[in-house]
Order: sequence, then C-alpha cells, then structure tokens
Amino acid sequence: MTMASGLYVPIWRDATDTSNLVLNLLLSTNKIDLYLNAKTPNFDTDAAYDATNEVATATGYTRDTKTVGGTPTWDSSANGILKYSWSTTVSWTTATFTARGYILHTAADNYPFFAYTFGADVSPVAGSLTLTAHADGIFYLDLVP
Amino acid sequence: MSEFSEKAKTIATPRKLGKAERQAITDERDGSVAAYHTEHWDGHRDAEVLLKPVKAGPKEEPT
Repeated sequence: MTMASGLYVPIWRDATDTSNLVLNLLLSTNKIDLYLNAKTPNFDTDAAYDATNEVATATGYTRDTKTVGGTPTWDSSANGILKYSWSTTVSWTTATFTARGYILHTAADNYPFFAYTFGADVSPVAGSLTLTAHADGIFYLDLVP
Repeated sequence: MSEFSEKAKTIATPRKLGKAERQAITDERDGSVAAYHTEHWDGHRDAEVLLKPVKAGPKEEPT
C-alpha cells in the first residue's frame, strides 16, 4: 500500500456525535506533516498522529512542527459544497528530503483529519518545498449531490 | 586572453550562471502534473506542488 488521499472516518464521526471531539479546521495552528510513500493511512481506523514513515528530521524538516498558518477557511458559497482551503502557501526552506504527501492533524489531541498524496515523490535539494492550494480548495464536501 | 581564461572556457558547466530549469513531475495515478522541480545553476532544487482538490462525497450520483 502507499500514501493516499482522504478524510479520517473516526475523527469526522466523533466530531459529530456524542463524543464531542473538537475539530476546528479554521485554526492556523493545525499541523501539517510530510510522509514517505510507505505511509499507508487507514482512513477507517487511524485516530491519532503517528510518526511512522513521516519524513525524518533532517535538513529543512523537523517532525511534527509545521503549522498550516495563514487563515484557513470554510467556504459554503457554492451549491451544496463545503470547501476547506488555506489563505497562504505552506513551505519548507533549505530543504533536502523526499516526500510523497502530507497529513493534517489538530495541534490539540493530535486528531488526523485529512491526508493527501502528491502522486509522485518530490525532492527539494537545499531549496524550498512549496504547497499551493487549488482554487477549489484543499478538499471539499459534496453535501448535496 | 590569459591562459587560465582559455582553459576555463573548456570546463563543462551543467547550467549557465543564474539560470534555472523547470521540470514537471508526473502524477503516477493519472499522468497529470503533480509538481515541478526547478533545478538552479548552483545545484539547489526547489519543489512546488500544485495541490489538487480532494472531493469527499457520494461515490455515485443519487437516483
């Protein structure tokens, strides 16, 4: 198995049931961690941050320290669509590593809520890695199909 | 021109000073562009990922 994109079912379930899990995606302090392709998210069971197969702390990367920053948004202006996005790029500088994707998790309690695969390895060398959000968001919920 | 300058002209250099080359990285899933690597003349490489929106919703249209 490999890195994949998706939302974490237990986290989204517990955020909307009597568990009262706090999932605030508007926080700029939510964490973004980079992973190798060996990472295999289990969207049905994973419920906490896990450093297994995370990019190792090395030149330009320190495990579990990067935040999404800026002003994350929920946009509900389109018909039936709820869109999560970032106001700014996320980047690492003076970076030398290989990454295949990222996982977002809350800073409090380390709840993972979204994973993304780049679809290929990216490998900055003494340079920058920049992630630029699409105009249609990081992800969107099609609530009224 | 000095002897050194004449010899220096024959030294192979991978890129011209100040130049950079941008290379598309292919998404293995669908062949689209996943990212770009920019190779700089001094050897450093930048990577830029153009994130694609992920849809979370019904796998099929409702009937």
